[in-house]
Amino acid sequence: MPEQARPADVTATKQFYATRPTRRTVFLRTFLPWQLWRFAVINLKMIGIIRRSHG
Amino acid sequence: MSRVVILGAGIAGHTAAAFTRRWLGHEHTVTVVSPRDHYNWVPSNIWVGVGLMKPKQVTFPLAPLYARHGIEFVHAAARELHPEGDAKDPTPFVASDDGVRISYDFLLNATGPKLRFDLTEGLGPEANSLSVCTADHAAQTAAALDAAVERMRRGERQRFLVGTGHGTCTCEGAAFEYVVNLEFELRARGVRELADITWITNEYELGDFGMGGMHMKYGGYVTPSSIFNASLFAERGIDWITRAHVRKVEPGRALYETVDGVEGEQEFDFAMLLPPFSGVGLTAFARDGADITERVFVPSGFMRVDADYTAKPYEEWRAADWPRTYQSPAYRNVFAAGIAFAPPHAISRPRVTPSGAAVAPAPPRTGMPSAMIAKAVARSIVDMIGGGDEPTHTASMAEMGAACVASAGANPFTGTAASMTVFPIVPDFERYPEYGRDLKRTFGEIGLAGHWIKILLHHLFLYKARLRPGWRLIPE
Repeated sequence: MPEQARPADVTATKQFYATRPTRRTVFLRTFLPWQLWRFAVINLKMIGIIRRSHG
Repeated sequence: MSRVVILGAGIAGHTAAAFTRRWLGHEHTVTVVSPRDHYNWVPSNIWVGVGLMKPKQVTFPLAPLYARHGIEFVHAAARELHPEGDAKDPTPFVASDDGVRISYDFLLNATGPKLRFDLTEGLGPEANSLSVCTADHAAQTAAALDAAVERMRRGERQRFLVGTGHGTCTCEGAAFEYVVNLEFELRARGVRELADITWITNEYELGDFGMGGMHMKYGGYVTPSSIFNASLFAERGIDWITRAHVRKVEPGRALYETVDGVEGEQEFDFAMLLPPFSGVGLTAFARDGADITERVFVPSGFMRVDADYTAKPYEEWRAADWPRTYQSPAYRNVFAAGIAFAPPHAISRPRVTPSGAAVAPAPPRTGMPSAMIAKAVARSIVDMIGGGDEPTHTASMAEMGAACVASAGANPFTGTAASMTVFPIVPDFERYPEYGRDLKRTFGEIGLAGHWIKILLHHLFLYKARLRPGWRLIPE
């Protein structure tokens, strides 16, 4: 007998046990000064990967 | 004079055509054969699919561009490969679906995939689900989204199902981008509270993306991408079903089974489910007319190249199995790039459901690696025309990294995207025994900066594809 599809509370349980961002993390995701800095950092990281991969 | 023929005008084919034309003297010809007469920057189809862009913003006609740059364009689909010519003439040629014979000295197969909606009953835009694989599919999906939003504005609750429509799909990353953009867009249109959104995937764990997931150093831990993916879904209120093979899509209902033995059904009002891919179905013939398709292609229709295709258990798969030059072992003047080459094996561990259905995410080979492979093959072809005996350039996915930006909502001030780098793309457990990748070069984060980069890349890569001044300075 195949197992039946998910019980109704599975979604809530999965979401309860998932890691959630703190309010600070969510705020920083769209906080302009921080994101300008991250824009520079991420671009540098990506350029590093691109240079290494094109080598 | 040499004739270089490139099948396909997607990211791989177009990149190879542009570089080959640039590097080859004009006594040689470069010909692109493609059934599509428009270039499509496929990564931005996601935004067409949520109604933020029109198809014309992600496509442009190829013929005028190629005419300006000295590239011949044949608007047709290649059907037959004759690498030894025929009884009358030993010159290799490709035959198109309308009977045109296109002779070549060097051939690059960059056809991309055939979209195999037919492998799941009821899957696809001509049946019961939607797609964003082409700009036209994405526009159709956007129209269906508009209709769903209208129903929600009248107070009706709507169920959205997004993900992979078969156990052997690839491009989970594209479907992931779609589901989070969809959620963002429903919020932007003020109807999110009336939407139930479910992600269904053939990945064993969230965040696998067909490349075995990735591990990153974060907050004092080495954390798998599944944690980040589950976190984003929980934060956005998106439900998820993993390890699933969708076996049938009926109007308003998807039937699936999982590796764990669950047989389920998911009702929907709107379903965007990607299809599995195969090769485009080229057949190959020897000079005497004998069918040699099995010698040139693997059973799924992708082209054999310099990979180790020996069948062996997952535990014995090695990074070194992956191709480096993309040259056909059967014909030294034939190459494949992008989705058209046959990977030696999956990256993620393949599994089956109790009923025997494969749940095996196929390895991604689109975007940055696709273009880098095409550029390396173009260089090798040019060098071989110049007198070299063997390919001079390599681009193994087990030796290169990739940078990827997955949009999670498009807005210049409130949008976000997940920015990721991995090195190497194919995990190398001999070099990096713990996780298969260099943790110093594998990272990911989500934020507005990623969205800005995604927008920047959209414009940069379309600028590059249009071969505007300085295009070659923009990296792949």
